[in-house]
Amino acid sequence: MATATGAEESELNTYWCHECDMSVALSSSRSSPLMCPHCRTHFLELMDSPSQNDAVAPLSSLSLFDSPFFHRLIHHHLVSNSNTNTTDSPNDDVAFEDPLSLLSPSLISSKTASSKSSATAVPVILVTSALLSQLDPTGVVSCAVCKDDIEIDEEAKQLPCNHLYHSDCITPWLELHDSCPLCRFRLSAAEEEAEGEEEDGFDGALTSSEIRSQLRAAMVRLSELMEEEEDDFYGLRTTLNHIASRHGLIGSNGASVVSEEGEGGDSENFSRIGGGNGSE
Amino acid sequence: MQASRARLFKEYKEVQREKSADPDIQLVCDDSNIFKWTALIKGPSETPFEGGVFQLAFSVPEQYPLQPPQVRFLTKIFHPNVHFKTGEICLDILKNAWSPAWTLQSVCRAIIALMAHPEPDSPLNCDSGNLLRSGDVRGYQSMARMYTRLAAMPKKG
Repeated sequence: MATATGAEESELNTYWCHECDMSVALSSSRSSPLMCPHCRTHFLELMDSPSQNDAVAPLSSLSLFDSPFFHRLIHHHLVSNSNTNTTDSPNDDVAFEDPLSLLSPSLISSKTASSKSSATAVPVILVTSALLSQLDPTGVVSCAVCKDDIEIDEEAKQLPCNHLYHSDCITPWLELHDSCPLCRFRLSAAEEEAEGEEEDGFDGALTSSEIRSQLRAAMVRLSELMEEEEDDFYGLRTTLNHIASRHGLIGSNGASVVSEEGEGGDSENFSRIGGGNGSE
Repeated sequence: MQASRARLFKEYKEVQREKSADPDIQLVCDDSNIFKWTALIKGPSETPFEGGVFQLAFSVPEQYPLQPPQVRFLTKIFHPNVHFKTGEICLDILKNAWSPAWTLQSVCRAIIALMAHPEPDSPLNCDSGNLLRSGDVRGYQSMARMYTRLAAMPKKG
């Protein structure tokens, strides 16, 4: 593993290796021509400096997880893991099955839990005469999907906007759409409100430091996973640190972190990830 | 499949029952196929389509009413949001703004409203849209009236 250990601070550049599909840190002065330490090819592309633009850019919610680097990282890991399945212990397979699921659930839930959850979120109720007469003075309420009247003791769903449908009629619609067929009331809007009341609203008023601390926690968890491997075989730790430094999670001095190695280096990385929040 | 059939049958009965409710719309189901309908709609008054009768063809998908019916003009019409050759209609409720609460009857009403209130900014008929966008209302009305007379009015002796 020769990832430009202890290179001069001035000449350390990050390259994308198109052969390995990941980034490597190389000092341009030392090795000429440039060579990827992993695959020993020269298919390298200079990446923009991690410390300049990204550290200044404001970190919007989830921007790290939208980053192509992160997805390439995950993809790369999944691919290499499936290639080496036979040699790895079964525990490792389980551990790396779905890296995204290891991240803080609240981080991903806001992205994935859209319409699917709203279909199941609305509870099924049994229609009572009281409910029907409450909705309509004559007690006759028809389902806007099938246009049949809703009868007492039928299974139904009442959306937050009070509109009532047969459970079997509205569920397939809600699996595809996020709105009430009659008034276009957005169900996710109601969910966000409810979440906001419960746990201070992840979507709305999350400060950048809160996002950072969540991301940092996710980073640490990913790093801990990688610690289980003997060495930085896939260069994941390096890549991860690079991503973190690009987003200013571990301060502007990213270059020195990138190249660290070995047991001592690991713990120091964690401490940097954990302790780099002083700047915000 | 069963749900769409039941729902269409419901609409069929409703149409039979309320035949006189909306004199501008005459909605007819195909004799052998409940997924094929045609409609005759009257051109709204105080528009260049006044006096014309326009035929629409409905093709209802099996996922109806979760998916919208496909509707097109069989009668030639000069309108920014109707394709001049195919009769395809650009109307949000027939695309992404569809809701299962709509019926074939209410879709007809929406199309009549579209005839009276064209949206020149999303044109399927660019000639028609450009006339309106350039402010040539008179030119647009003249063209539309001519095609109404040519295609949507019974020939007078």
